[in-house]
Amino acid sequence: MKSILILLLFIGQSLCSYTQNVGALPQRMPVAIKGATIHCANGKTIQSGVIAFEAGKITILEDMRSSKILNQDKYEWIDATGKHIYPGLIALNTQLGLSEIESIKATNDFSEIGSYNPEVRALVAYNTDSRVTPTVRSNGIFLTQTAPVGGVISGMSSVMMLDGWNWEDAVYKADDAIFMYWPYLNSPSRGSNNDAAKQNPTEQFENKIRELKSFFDQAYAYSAKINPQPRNLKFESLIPVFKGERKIWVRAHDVIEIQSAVQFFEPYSIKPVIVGAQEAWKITDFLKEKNIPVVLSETHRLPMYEDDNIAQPFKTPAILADNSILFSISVDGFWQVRNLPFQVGQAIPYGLDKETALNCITINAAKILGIDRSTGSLEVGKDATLLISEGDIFDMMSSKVSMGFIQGRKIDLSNKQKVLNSIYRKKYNLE
Amino acid sequence: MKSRHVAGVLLLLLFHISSNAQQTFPINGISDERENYYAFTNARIYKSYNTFIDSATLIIRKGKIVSVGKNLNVPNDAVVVDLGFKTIYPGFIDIYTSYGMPESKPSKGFEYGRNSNLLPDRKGAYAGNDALKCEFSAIDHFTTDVGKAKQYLEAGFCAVNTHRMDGISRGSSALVSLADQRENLLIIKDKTAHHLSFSKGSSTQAYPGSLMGIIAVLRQTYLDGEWYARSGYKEQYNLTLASWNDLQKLPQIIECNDKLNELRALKIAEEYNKSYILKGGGNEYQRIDELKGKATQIILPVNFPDAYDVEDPNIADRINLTDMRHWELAPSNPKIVSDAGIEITLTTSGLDKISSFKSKILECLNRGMSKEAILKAITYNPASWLGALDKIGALDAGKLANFFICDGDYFDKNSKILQTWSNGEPTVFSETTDAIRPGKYKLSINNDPIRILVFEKDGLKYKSFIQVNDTSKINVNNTINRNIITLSFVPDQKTKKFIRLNGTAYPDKLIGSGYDITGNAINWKADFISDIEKSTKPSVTDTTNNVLVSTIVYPWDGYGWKEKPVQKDYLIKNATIWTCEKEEVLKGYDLLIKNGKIDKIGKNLSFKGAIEIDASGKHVSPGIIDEHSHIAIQGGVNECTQPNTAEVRIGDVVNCDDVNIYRQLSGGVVAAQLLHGSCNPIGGQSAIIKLRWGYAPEKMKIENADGFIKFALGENVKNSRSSFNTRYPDTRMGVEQIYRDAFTRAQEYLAAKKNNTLLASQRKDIELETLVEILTSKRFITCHSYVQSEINMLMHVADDFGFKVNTFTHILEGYKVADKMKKHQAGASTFADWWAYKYEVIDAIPHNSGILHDMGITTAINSDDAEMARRLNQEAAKAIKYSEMSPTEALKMVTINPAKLLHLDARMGSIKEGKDADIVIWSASPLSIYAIAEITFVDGIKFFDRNEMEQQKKLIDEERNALIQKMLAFKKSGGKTELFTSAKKIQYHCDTIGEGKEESIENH
Repeated sequence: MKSILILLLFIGQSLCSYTQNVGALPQRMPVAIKGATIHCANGKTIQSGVIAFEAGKITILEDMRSSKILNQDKYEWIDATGKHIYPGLIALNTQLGLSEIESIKATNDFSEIGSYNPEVRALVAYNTDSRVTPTVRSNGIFLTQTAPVGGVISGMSSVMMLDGWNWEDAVYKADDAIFMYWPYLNSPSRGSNNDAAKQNPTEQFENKIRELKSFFDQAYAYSAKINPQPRNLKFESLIPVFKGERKIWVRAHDVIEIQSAVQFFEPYSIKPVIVGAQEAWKITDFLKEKNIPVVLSETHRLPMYEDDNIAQPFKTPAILADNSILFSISVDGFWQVRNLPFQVGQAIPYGLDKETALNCITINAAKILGIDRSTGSLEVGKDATLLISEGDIFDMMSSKVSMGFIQGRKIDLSNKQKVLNSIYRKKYNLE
Repeated sequence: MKSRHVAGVLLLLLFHISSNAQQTFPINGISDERENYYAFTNARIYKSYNTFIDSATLIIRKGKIVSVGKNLNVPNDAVVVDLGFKTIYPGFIDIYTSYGMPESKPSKGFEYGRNSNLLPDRKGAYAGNDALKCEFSAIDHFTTDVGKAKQYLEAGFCAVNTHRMDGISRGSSALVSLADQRENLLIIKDKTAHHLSFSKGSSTQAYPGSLMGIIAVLRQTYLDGEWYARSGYKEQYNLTLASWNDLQKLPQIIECNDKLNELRALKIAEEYNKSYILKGGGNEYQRIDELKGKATQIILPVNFPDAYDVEDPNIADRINLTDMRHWELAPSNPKIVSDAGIEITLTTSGLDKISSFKSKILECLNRGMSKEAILKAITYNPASWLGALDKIGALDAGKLANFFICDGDYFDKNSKILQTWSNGEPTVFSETTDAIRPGKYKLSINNDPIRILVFEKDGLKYKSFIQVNDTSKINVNNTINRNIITLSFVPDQKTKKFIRLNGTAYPDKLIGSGYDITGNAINWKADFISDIEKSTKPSVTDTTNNVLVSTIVYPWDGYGWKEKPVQKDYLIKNATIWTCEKEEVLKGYDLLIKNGKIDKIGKNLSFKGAIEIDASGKHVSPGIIDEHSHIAIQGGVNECTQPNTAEVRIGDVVNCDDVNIYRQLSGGVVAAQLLHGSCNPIGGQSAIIKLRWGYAPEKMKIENADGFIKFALGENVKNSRSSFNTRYPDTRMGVEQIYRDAFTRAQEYLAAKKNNTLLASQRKDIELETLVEILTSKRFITCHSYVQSEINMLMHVADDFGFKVNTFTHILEGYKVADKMKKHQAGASTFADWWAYKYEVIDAIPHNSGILHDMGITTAINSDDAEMARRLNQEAAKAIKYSEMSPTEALKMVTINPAKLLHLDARMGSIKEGKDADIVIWSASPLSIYAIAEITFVDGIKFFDRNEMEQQKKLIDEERNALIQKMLAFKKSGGKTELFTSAKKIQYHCDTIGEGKEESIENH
């Protein structure tokens, strides 16, 4: 009877997460965590440290042996001896919050009709109550850049915290970037009777670029007008871009596309972020000279071409790191984002050092987003957005997030899947 | 009568009727019968591909050869053509054409509810599949096509075998002459061969929608034909099957167009005791060892690919090494095939222009094929294969007057075909005699001998110039029309004014009149002095092309082997061994691999002759087995077109060239079950392979493995993605009934088989045979499944019909019915953490494998994905994270557990003495993301070594560069290049329909 009661209680409690992803309450009292290995993501690792935060900001970060605050009553103390503390992970280039079930159109809000849609905003479609989000958050991903897909100019992304009652609470940086797909230099398909396919691919490519150029040139001219009539909302969404307040993120994979995109934006003094960038490793000098940040797509992918080194996607991050290119690794999807740490971990045995691996989904991601002043690493004064893992976050053998804070708010790490697991384990007496 | 020119003959043809047949047609005018009685003298005559006679005579009359030989008596009433030492060859024969056939358009691929008919669309007493067009007979539809015929004739062809290239069975072909005559006169032989193919052509019937479906149709049709002849004819009249049976007496030509399809055809031939003439694809050299000894006759195309334009390095990056190699090696294919002891014939089929045939032949010659072998391939062989040697293929008395006249050796680059005679009718491209005798002439104007005029032959035209002195020449423009010539030249460069001449040519002089530079009328003549001294320079043949930089490797991929790796004995020392047996993990142990087996596990082992591998600090695990894979499959992974396609077999369409085999070896995978897709409740039979990279498809299959079959439930079989579904079932209710109906029919079929009176008239049905195997526990089910209701349902169906569901695959809601699965003794093969991609996975949880495992169900983690399969060890490790499973148990989910599910655990899946040496050496714990598979053994053969892979990548880059350099040089020297066209490889998933679309969303 007692156990049933506990079960019911447990279920009752967890059903919150099962049915609704509700916001966490603001931090009320200072929290201090001791004993863990603290991975600061700024080059520092404190083997056995103390980290404390108040009102959502980190106030103390020190070695436990020399800590002066140990046992002070003002803190709610958490003993994390033997565990690991990392900054909350940042997932770039996702559709998290824009989809519930990929194959059910009614649940999808990531792709608008038309090919030039810079004006659409992921922010307003972002669903804080998605059942998917808690499954991602429970793996330590606490910030996401949610972006539209499709067309040539897909629309605007926003940086969201994976906590909040509604999108206004959850937003960390609104409308941070405009996402695009760079035209692909096609190879004509074999045996195709399609006229478009027969057209010279370079010509086809040039036509698409010309079209884009005309759009950006006119938008640029529009941005200089004092009181434009008639108003054009597509152009207006680009004004902050020309002012340097909003970024352009370009999805491009091939050498030709990447170079073309970077050159395209030079006249506007815009440095695009290159997303995907499977062939970035071939043009590291170019990227370095132009100072272009790169957001790689999944390492868990097949090589582009049959003759490629069969481990090329695993090796690419280390090549970028060795060439001092600012880069991150992303998961282009929504539910799949929960595997972000493993997408990064995959590159470690292929030469990516662990420090850079961590940086690329924390501080470097924050730098690329332009939010590194307040988040992305564990430093006094920055957001208390952090997680405690039972072990190495990059290895599925040990990666187990047991506690998490977003701006000091303690995060519910449960999700509907954990609840279902518990229910059925009880059913079968497997506890 | 002696005639030097026969140019007028072509014109006359239009007005008379050849007299080599009885007059059965009315004419408009008076009778004008002619015999076409000709004697060609002074020729080199190739009587056959291997014998020629010099200074010989060929006499023809009424379309046939009267006699061939030396010193023949030339009859008075024959037109004599003195060929002046030109060469006569027997006309070429193209065995593979659709000359004069009605057009047929290929149908579009299968798409639910669109374009396709789920049922046959033909009206009439035909069979149940529209792609069987056995009753089509080329002879019934043949009409001459003068324009097309001329193209063939110009290339030296006098006869072609023609059929309509439409359907799996295309009916019979006819052998016809190419003359411009009434069809009645052109048929050399009707019903020469039965044509088959692996493509369904214009049929709009959905089934078959895949290569394996087509093969199933072939198999079933052989059985149906047998049944129809035995007893079926009593029940029904079936035009298709009746024709099919008639066609069996003919030579069987099957269009394969690819080396692996050729191996498939040979296997079918063996099963039904047939002998096929294969229509090849030009890539036979890539699998010549397997074709050797099995294939006896192959029709080879000569459409060798053009070079790629590789000037842009970024574009060049997109071209696979194999495509570049094929450019270089394709011209060697005919020789390689022929050297393998296989009889060949060459076809123009696939050439953009028939006129390029000769240049392709010369490429073959350049690669070392003998002239004799080439001639045999295009004269004797096709005639012999079609049983028409009595009429064509050589020049003998009584045979058809099918030949061509060449102004020299056909194989000389500069020689030209002047006339082609088919059925005794000439098609003239040029005179048989030179309009002007090439040589030096003394040019006199107004009797004033001024200069030496030279005429040189340039193909069918002439180059002419005036030799001023040893170093200087004046170019002379000429127009020569038969023996009428026009010349003009500038005698003095200062004036830049022309002398203009015209005149007539005689064998020893040219004579005529004209105007000098000032316009005064002049007379001129040019007397022959001497022939031009033949240049002693050897003719410039392109020998650079013969230095081949490509390597032939197995399989046909950059990472293929020059020499297939072989079994060796290995001693792995001092390793941490994950046994996946009771003893779990052994630290600091040695492992001896001998004769492909795990020979010994122990401490301080030694074995003389074994290659020692120091594995200190390394981990050794059993090879990973992927229970659910769709790699290495060709021609479609789904036969979607019917709810029950138990007859199709993935085993028929294994693709040994898929680079994913090698990529997966690099992830420690040693074996995989290649499954049919999930778009119908009863899918096809699976193939269980070891990743023996480099071996032929049949050699990859695991010997004596139990047979399995794919079933599927839920959204995919209901075709929920499309709003156009027209195929039953559309609900999970219908899915159940498909099963109940299929197994009810199978029970009845089985009962009939056991009843002697019924058996006599029973048709062997390969679909029902497969279901009977399930009923009798000889074939086992892997069922794609997601939600608990459907899982439950299938177990009930199985219970009712007395069999077990061996494995539920995907089974993402398995945790909800784990107790029922346990009771049914079903196994589970699931994803680690997938969900949210479709509605039926809304309740999927990453803890599923943990619950199933803890319930005592044999649980595996599978890939269903070419990428994920490379890191199944990591996917298994997720159970440690989500379900706190022990690392040893987690590893078992990708080794011994899938081996159990596939009934292979007695020989694979764990490290135990006596088991197959399918072993992986890892750099770290195999469950860790930091683990890299360094070496992968399959059957004690080292199929993957990471260091060797890195070396191979360097060799790939070197070979690519060598070929790119060669293509660039080729382009620079004026060679033809084409833009690269993308050939993106499709990665198959459960619901890929047909050949798949590049942009198709991944779905499982």
